[in-house]
Amino acid sequence: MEDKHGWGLGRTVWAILFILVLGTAPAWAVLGEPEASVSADGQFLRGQIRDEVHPGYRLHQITDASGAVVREYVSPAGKVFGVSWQGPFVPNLQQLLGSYFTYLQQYAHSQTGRHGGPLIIKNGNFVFSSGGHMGWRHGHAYVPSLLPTNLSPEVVQ
Amino acid sequence: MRARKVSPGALAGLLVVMAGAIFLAACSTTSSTGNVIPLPVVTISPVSASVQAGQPMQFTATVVSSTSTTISWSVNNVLGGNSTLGTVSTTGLYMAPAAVPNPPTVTVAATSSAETHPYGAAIVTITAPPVSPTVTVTPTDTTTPAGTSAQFSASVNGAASTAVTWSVNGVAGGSSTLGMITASGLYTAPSALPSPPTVVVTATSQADTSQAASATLEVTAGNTAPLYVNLGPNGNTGNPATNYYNGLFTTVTVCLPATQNCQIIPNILVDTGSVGLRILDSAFSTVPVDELGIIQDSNGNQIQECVQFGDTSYAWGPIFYAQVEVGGETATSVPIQILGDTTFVVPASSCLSLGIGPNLDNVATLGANGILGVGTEVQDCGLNCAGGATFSGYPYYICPSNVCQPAPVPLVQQVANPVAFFAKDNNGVEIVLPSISVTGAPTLPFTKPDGSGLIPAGQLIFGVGTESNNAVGSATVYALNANGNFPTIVFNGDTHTSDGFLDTGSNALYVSDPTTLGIVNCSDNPYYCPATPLPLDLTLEGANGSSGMATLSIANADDLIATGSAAFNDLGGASGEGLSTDYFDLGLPFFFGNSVFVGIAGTTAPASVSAPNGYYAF
Repeated sequence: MEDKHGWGLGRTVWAILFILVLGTAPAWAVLGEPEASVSADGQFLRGQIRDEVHPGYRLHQITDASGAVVREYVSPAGKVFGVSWQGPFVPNLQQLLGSYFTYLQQYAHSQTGRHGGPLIIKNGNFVFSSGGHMGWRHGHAYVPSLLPTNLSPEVVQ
Repeated sequence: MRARKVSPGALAGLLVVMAGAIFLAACSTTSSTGNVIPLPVVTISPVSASVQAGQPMQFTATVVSSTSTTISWSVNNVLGGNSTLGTVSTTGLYMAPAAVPNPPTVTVAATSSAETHPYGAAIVTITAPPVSPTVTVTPTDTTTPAGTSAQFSASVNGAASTAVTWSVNGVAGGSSTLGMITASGLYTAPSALPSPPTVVVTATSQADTSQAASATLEVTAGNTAPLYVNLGPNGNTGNPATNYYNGLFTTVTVCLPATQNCQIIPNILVDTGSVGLRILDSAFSTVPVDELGIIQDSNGNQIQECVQFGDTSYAWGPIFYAQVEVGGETATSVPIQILGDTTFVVPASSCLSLGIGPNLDNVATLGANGILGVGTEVQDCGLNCAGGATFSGYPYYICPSNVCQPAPVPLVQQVANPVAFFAKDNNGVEIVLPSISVTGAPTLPFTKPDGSGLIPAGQLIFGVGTESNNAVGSATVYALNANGNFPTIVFNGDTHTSDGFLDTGSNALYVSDPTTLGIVNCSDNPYYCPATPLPLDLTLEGANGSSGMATLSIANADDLIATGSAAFNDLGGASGEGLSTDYFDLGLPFFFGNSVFVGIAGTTAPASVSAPNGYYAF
């Protein structure tokens, strides 16, 4: 689709740059942490890792045994500013979100009254959504203050 | 109780005795001169009586000796009586009070106007009127599929005997064509639909055959379960926050495998967005959960499951084989999950960290007694959980020595869609819900499902193209992609390839594409509150290249909720933050006024459509 937000980064752009690594080494980083934290949670996801360089950010993508895809988005400053997931099951968000998990715990119970729909959390420091149906879950989270300048949050998908 | 009747002979005898007593009393009175003189004496007849409350009794007074023959009548010395004691006319017509006074005995007196003493008096006992036995029958309005049973109960008040005679359309005990009913009120529908399909079940008091009560019952096709949209088991409490808007519920029967030990469990959410039957432990009262068929690994460890939902809510509990009956169909042995089982109160720690939101282990958080997942898959995990590899979010566990760890579970042991286990009509379901009007006109019943007054909102029909009532006809078939979604949805000229799905278990149209960005979220509920309804005309496309339009809209949720209705075809909410990557979770509003088929993956789709991942048709 056309980009309607004026960020100048459409879907076509992000397919441009390249697979740098293909491997099966356990590696991960968590939201808000330096990219160097990649190895900290290495045990919890195992699968095909793909690293890409895009204009304005780097992307680490891992595909696990269930077919789930988890992506982490790293700013030029070396901070993980966003994560996303898509697959049969929701990954371990405590490990994926790091210290921002407390926001999730804080707000996950506040959206009362909905049934079956997605969970949406949006405040100044933390944006989160999680939804889908059984067999297909997806969601993403990002930290607006860590988002690189001139980058749309739509890259975190 | 009947009023006691006083025979004329007994009255005459009493009259003589009482008159004599009064006469003697009169004679014992002397004048100031000491001479015994005749005093006025009035006698009354009858001198003792029982009168029903509200009923008349004529008394007659005779002046035996008086200078005046004028009589005044009183009750308990109140001239003419009153509404509490009963009234008496100038001609001696006593009218008992409407209610039995306390004490229930009054004195009706006839007094000569010449001499107020002595006088004639009658003792009147007011009795309660006889109560006609009243009969009530529950439920008053229900359905049952052909060939299945429905239990009625009758209560009789006001008769010593509570026995009733049951009949169907006036035929005692029913008939083979109308259905039979036992002495205990168990109705069994015929295997063929009666004509007309609605029968009247009547309970008649055996103590008073003029008293009876009836209920209507619609015999539905043998592959059909009723659907209710009724605010849920927590609803209608006066607190709108506990109302389950657009909740779709049915009733299932769970039996211990290969037994007749069954329990009917209402308020089960019908969910096309999940797979498998999950029921709260608390919903079982007569069937012992621990006698369901245990599912365990080769070392005797019972399999536990951590089931996740998209909104990060979760539930934990063991799985069992059970016989499941829904709408006339039976799965004789299908794995189900029991939620909130006290045997394993503490879930695996990894389940707790996966499930951030509410633990759906009770009626308050689940909003139902259970979930009947009738989605497009047979198992809830499939090959991902059968092969031995585990991954983040893995759902199945064993807990040897109360230490839980992920464990592989063969397909046959995984929680499964009961529909796929039916002997027939096992390739999918059809959800049929009526059209409802827009804002402010509730048209679906939303009484609490307390066993009375239930009117189904729609039908859950089992099978696709297997019976006369589930033909796909000219409906468009939409094959789903590998994620179980429409591969493409077009809205306002934008093509969304970020997936979309239909889900009766979602209670609103959850959408947040760039167009809906401008919609205001409500301040006091988690839905959209647009100033004017937003048209939501979607083009849905199947993986087989089919496409069709869905004409929907999103109205102001504050206005909708204020109507007091339970069902809304235009309730919407955000599915994200309005990014182009957000998706479409089309919940129950999509299904009103629609017949939607949900075909199970691996079955043959209609119209020669290739649909290896399952399909929708509508």
